[in-house]
Amino acid sequence: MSTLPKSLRDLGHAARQATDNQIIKLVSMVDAMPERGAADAILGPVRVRLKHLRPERTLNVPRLLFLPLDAVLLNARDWRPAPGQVPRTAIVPLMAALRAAEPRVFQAVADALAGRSLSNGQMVSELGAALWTAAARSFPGAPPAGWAEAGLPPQGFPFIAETCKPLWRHGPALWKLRLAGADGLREQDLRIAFRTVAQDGPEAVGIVLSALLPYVVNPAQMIAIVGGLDRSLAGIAEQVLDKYLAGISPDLDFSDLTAVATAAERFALVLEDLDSATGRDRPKRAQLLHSLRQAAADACAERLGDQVNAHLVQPLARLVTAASVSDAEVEALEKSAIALRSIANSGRGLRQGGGFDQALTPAITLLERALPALLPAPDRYGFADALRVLEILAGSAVAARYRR
Amino acid sequence: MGPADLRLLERYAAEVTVPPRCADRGVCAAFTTPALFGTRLRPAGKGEVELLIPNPSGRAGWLVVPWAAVMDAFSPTIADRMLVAGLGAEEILPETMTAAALRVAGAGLAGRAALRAAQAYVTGMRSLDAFTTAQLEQRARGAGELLPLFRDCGIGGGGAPLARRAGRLLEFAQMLSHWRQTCPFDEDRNRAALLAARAVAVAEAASALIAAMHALAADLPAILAVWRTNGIALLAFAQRAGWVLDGWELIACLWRAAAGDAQLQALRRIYALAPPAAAEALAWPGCAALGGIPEPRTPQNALRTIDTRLCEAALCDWLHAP
Repeated sequence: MSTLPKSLRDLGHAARQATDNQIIKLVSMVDAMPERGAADAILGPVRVRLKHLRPERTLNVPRLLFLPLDAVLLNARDWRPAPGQVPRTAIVPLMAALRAAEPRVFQAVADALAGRSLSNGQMVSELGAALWTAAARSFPGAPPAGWAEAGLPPQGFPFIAETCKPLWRHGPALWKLRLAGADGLREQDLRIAFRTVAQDGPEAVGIVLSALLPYVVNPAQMIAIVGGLDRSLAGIAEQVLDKYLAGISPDLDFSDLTAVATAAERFALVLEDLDSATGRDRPKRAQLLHSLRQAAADACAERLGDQVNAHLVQPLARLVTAASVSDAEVEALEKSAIALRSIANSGRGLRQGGGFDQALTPAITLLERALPALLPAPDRYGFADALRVLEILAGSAVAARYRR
Repeated sequence: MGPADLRLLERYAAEVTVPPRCADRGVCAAFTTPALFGTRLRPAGKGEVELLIPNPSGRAGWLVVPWAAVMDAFSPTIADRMLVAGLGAEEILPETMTAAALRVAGAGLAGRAALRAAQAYVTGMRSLDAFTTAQLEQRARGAGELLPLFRDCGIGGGGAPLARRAGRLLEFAQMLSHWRQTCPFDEDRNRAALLAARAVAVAEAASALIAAMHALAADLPAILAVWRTNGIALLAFAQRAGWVLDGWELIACLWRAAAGDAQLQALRRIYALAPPAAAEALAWPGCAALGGIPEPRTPQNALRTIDTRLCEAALCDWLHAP
């Protein structure tokens, strides 16, 4: 970051404090740059939030090229010459070398990409396949021009090559698995894909697994399936899982409550899956999972403690007595209630008896007191509005008691 | 529908595969409980109702589950409980279901957006009724009393609710065809193609049935005479297009309401919710194509729960205008 122009440096600092919407705007500015180069580093502090915010991002050749490497790219200061990681500073020299080696493919992809976004999964599959296959085929045999200028040591090159090549060679399959991962990968799809990757050796399997794990909700199942494909893969698959476990944390640092709820729910799902990867023979892993569970539960409790009063109780108290309310106010309150209920559910799943449901009690009590006096009134906060929030917070069975 | 829901449903056998009559497949209920979205209700005798749910195991047929069991297993939203309660002793038909959904939404139980959509629907329907009545009277004095017959299909010249719904179904098919080009998964591309083909067949069958109603309108004095002596038979004829379309627009609305990545999950969810073609409908003029496309089954990867707000957004879209 220190080598950035001052304007970009300021943006990077601002990004740390930015709201979710500001981050989305910042990403679109960076994505619009013809050559992102060092400007990419300004997104460093917000990458974890970006992963959950998932803004619509325009595609360009460098972004598409490095898509299979998303999970192994690191900020330069965090990178060490070792397999399974690539510093972002390698993007510019590698991109230039590969474009020079495969000019026709790169130009054709650049032309086809104009104005497209990542949301077109099939287009990404088709154009990505062309680009990634070309990159694997033409990967330089030695550090390319600009390597030293990017601050990269020559001894780092073999590790970076060892990481990039399998990810690009198997990029098309990896991309499809990554897209499918949010719904839980299916055993048959995994088996087919990783039998092919295994032909490149266990190290390649380890690298491809590392690149995929952050995108799936069933990492332990995935490790068990891939590790079970062949005796030679079991060890490396377990190593990848340990490394993955050491790197995950419950990141609930969003200004938007819905984003917090989504991230908490996903993290709780992942931990539930990871429980299957512990056992008597893995006490350290069980301990680590326990710590992660507690940390995630603490994060949920903290967000509930911070937000229930401000986003639920106070607005509710105001709305039930207001002379007029807008649809937007009613809907905003419901949205907060849904998010806070979801955070409480995630917390309760992570740590029973943690007082998560009790955090919502003040709002439930307020609603139960207000409901008998509320009337159907579209311009005011009406009976149905309150009943819906009660249903969200306390469930249908409780709300049904107040049905008229 | 999650794994826990699947376990609860294991005790119910799949019964409905090829329903003889449209009524046997039930009527699509505008539920907002995610696990119940797009499922179908039919009378179960003794004033009870039962729910038809596409077999979540991926095998053929729809499960038939008593409403009391649904209450225990799925804890339906207040809006859904009121929807079923609101049907009361009424015959379960597409139009009575719409009326019940309008009452629930109009009471605000499905949210402010659904409330506004229901208000717009009622206003729109009033003005359409006035328009259709005027058209009928213009063609034949006293023909205004045929409004119940022509309310949904109109007498030609556009603007009728079912013609609009058939048009929207064709748009849905076009959107699916476009979307499938962006989908990276072969299985889902095939599902989108199959669903689009069925949607086109349904829209075309409905258009043929609507056209048959318009043909009736060519001789309103004669129809008026039949209406006064055998109105029930005429009404059953007029209801055919509604039966054929029933359920399709709501699932199309769910897919439209799902944005971005959520559309893939929505597609998997609605794929099996597309109603089966009833044997009686295949014999109706212009409807033979309804039987030519294989019935879909629940995809294995359709188990991630869609959320209540998405169901409510679909409901709003469905209600937005008659």
